[in-house]
Amino acid sequence: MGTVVSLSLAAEATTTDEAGATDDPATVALARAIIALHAADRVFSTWKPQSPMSRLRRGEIGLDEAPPEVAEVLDLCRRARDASGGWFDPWRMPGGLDPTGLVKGWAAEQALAALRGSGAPAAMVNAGGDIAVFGEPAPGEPWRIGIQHPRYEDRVLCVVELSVDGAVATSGTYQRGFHVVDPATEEPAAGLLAATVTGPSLAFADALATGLLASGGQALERVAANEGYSALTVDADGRMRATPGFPVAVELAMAR
Amino acid sequence: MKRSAVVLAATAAGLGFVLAYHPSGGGNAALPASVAASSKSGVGAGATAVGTDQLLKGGLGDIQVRVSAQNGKITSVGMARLNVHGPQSAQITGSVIPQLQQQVLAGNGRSIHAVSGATYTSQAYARSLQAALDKIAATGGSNAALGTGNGNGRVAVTGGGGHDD
Repeated sequence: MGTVVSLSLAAEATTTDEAGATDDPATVALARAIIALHAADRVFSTWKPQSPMSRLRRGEIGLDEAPPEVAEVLDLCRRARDASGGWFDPWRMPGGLDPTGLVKGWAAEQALAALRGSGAPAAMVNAGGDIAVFGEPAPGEPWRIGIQHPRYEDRVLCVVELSVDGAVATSGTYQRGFHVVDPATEEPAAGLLAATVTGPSLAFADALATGLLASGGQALERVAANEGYSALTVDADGRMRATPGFPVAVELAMAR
Repeated sequence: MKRSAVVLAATAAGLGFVLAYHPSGGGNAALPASVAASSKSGVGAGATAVGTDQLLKGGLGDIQVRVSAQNGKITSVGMARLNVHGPQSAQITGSVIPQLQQQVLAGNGRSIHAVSGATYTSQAYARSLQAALDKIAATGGSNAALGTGNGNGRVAVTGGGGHDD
């Protein structure tokens, strides 16, 4: 499955010469961010039969033969499994090992690091709905992120504010159906329309949101027990539950 | 200094990119193959697999990224070519923009920078709220992420786009 990554970067005004060429740092930073995304995709894609992750899944290579970032990601997966109370578990997926629930957030973090390395004062990466930011979009202002309404695609449910470094990830059944699996039963997760997690790391927030959705909401307290993380769930009846720290700035809509 | 907005999109899965470059006043532009910026550091683990002059196509246009590597380390990266497909830009419908802005403005009078939601496919992106925000930024609207039009000499660099599996 392909998705789309939107990149935002605060930058000085671009200049081009008469031939239209530029060595504008923002443009270069964006190129590097894109390269980081594609590099992550090449390593971790479970849709590409020859990716190191696909070969690892088939047992063709060992972890020591895979690029070092594979071990890094799997280590993060282990920590996220614990942090979700076992509800996020890439080792108990129907098709075998599948870290996809964390990799997208991780890849977005790599892209954000590339943008940060350009010296830009602020940037944001939105990887298919999972967002990581740094800096301030304008002096003294937080990033304002709308949370997609699970029933109406042209509405947001609420607006959260992220400060200098932060992330927000949402998992839901409304875009691609029941694709998240309960690791205990290996059955599709039901019970929630959407789960959103905020916190300092997007890789972690992404995995925790996946686990929270898989749990049908049972993991809400466990997820929020992680330092710096908070969560919001919307159940099938439209009821919303948020943990104490969830940074809602504006509540806009009932989820029904 | 010329003000402009660079609109860019990439995909996390599969090759396919979009990059639309709007010089002030909008319109499409193509950069000749003379862009290269020096950098000593790599772009992260796994980057050594990056080739040179990759042509990446998708959604709103093509971008050719020029990457030079020595001993497995990236030594430079830049845009070699940039083409925008005008008609495809129109795939991102403007119809959800007024509704989104109306709703958000009703909330607190300030716009939002992004939308978090369940992972959309490349196809679904085109009608997503994030696509609407990207479109606003691309056209230099006052609601663009990072404040295009805020008069402090910055430009907004944002984007969206996609590819097909």
